Amino acid sequence: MSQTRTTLEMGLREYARTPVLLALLVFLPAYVILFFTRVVPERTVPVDVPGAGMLAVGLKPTVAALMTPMVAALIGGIAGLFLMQSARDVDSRLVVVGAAPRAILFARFGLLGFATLLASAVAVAVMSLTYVPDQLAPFVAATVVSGLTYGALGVLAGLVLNRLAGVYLMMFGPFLDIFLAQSPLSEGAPAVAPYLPGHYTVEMAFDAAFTAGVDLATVAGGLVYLAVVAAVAWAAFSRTLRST
Amino acid sequence: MPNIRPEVAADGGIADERPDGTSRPEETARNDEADSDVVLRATGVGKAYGSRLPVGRTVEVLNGADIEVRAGEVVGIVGANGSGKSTLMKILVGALEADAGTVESSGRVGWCPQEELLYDRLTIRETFRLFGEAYGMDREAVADARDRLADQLGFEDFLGYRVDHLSGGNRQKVNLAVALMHDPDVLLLDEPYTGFDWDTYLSFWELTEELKKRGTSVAIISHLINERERFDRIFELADGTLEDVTEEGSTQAGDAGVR
Amino acid sequence: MMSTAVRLRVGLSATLREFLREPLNVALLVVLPPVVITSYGSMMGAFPRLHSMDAAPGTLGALNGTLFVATFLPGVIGLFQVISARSADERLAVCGFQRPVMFTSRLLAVVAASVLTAAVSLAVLATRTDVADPAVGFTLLAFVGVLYGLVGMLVGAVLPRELEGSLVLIFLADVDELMSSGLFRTDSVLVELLPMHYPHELFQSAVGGETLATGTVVASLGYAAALFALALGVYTLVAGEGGVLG
Repeated sequence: MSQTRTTLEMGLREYARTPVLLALLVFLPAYVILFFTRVVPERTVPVDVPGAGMLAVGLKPTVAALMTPMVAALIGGIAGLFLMQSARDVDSRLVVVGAAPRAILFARFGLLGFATLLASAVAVAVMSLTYVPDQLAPFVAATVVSGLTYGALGVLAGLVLNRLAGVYLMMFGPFLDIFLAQSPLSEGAPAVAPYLPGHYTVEMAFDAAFTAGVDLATVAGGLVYLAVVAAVAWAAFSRTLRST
Repeated sequence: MPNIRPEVAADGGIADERPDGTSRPEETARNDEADSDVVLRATGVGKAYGSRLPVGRTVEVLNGADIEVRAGEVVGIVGANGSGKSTLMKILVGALEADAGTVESSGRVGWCPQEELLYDRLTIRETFRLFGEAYGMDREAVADARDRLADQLGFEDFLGYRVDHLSGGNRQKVNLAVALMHDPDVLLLDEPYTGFDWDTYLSFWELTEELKKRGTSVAIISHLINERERFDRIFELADGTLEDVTEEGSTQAGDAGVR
Repeated sequence: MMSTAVRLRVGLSATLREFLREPLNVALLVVLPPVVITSYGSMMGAFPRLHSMDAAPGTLGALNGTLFVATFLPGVIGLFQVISARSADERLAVCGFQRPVMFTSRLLAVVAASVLTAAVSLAVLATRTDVADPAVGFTLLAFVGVLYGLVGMLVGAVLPRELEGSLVLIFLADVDELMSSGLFRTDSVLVELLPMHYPHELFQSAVGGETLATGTVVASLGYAAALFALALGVYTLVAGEGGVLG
């Protein structure tokens, strides 16, 4: 336990010494949510909210509720892509001298979680300036799960693809998935939509934003999806720590 | 022979096995009289890099490399660039899995890699703390080792500095100190002189002498060996195998050195 | 002594060879455009025709997807070109390569990428919808590619680390793309600051066979010129700062 604690502590100290990254984790989500809540016109749109059917909702809150998990996904994805890799050689050295790979994994994934949490908190906070979700805590949870799911995918992408391909994937992935495939403004979801990472998290987000209840099946789906992707990412990253 | 302190952290911080499956020093039994002073032995080590698919080139870097390092020896391993020196070293310390052969050690192994594998944004103090934890050392032992090595290698003024704020030479000193802090029985150094100024180079050899007196073995991998008299034995890595060239006069490892 | 032209040619061919040698990069170039354009087109096809849309949603989707693909690969290449080359460029600067020359050599790689992706993307788009003026369409796609390449180079010069640079580029690119998607219209002047705002209109006109609005063309060229000057200036400044060995 103390090894995990020390490794995580050192990881956080390193983070604290990258002010540009921390600033970006705060500024980028804030800028995007603010931008959209300013430019999107005031209108009402029919939105299909899971568990509540068609509701007439303002376009601003709709876009905000969609953008917030998307922003978390972008941050999580890029962080997963690069963060885990940034010190891989040194992490391997730590393992060679005796650190338990588990400790390093906890620390690295912990840092990824921290980045996602920070970005999610900022995004939701800024969104709340325009519209406060009906159920704030579940909405935050949906946002965080979106970020973590894409974070785990980012980790996998970083291990399998080169950085060019990884960045390209993160550029298109959350956009096509969350903004288009999962969009409540569309009249029919594409066949592939239920299998995409954003499916459950966007449903969770809309459920939390515009209704008073929580659809447990959706929550369970989102958590299971995250657990599976995270487990695969964990196993894959663990393997790379053991041989340089 | 220094005491092998079985310092295992209370939570079992030291992994039972090295990543390549060879056992931790405390687990390996000593065999017989003849072997009792061998601290590190590699037998028939093979390693190839290349495509896993039927197409693509495979480069056989090591092919049946054997080496023994005895207690208190200073061993040099020399070879041309691309001969597989770093690969051999990584296999010896357990950072890389060999395709064939075995590696055994009867003591603690310390590894100073060629690249400075350190966390850039941690201070020297924090670096010692983190690696000390990985070695299973307690706080006092870490502090002792840190202060002793900082004094010996000359970076005591920089303990509060971040690694990325250090000069190249100081970073290399810290890189070396991390390999020494747990008082290894055999120290493996990959191109250790890079970035050393003259004073540091001399300090390095003073340190090596001291280690030798304490019974610690030192194996230095380099493409260049000057001052052959400092080494007890010299091996040359060529065509994937190691050859003892200690007696030879002028080899690649000899007067001209190799670039 | 090597002439500048020879240096540029050598640098460019080395960069291209390095890029094309990795099978994944070639796959990106060839596979991604059809995947993105088709996905975008079919996903947008599920949207009702909103009053903010100038064309049928499916067509708009394919068009946007084409622009997305054609612009963002050069953008990412520009980013990584500058980031990876940073220390090498500092050394080259000391050895006598002038910074504008190095900048141009990096930009040439971006131009090459833009031309390649523009060709592939337009070809894919043509399979989904009629492109009235392919020559102009191709030129515009390559133009926007270079535009985003410059953005990538600028970001890479200011934030020479992969994580931070990629974050900024992606956020900018996605916001730009979102605003061009046609899913909502706005009068906000902020939108005009986005790189793709004017070229998007032009591209839509080219595909639809309409005349390009002169004002929009001028605005696009002006934007490009300003961006070029900014990127060159920042690059020169930054490359100069670390221009001492050791």
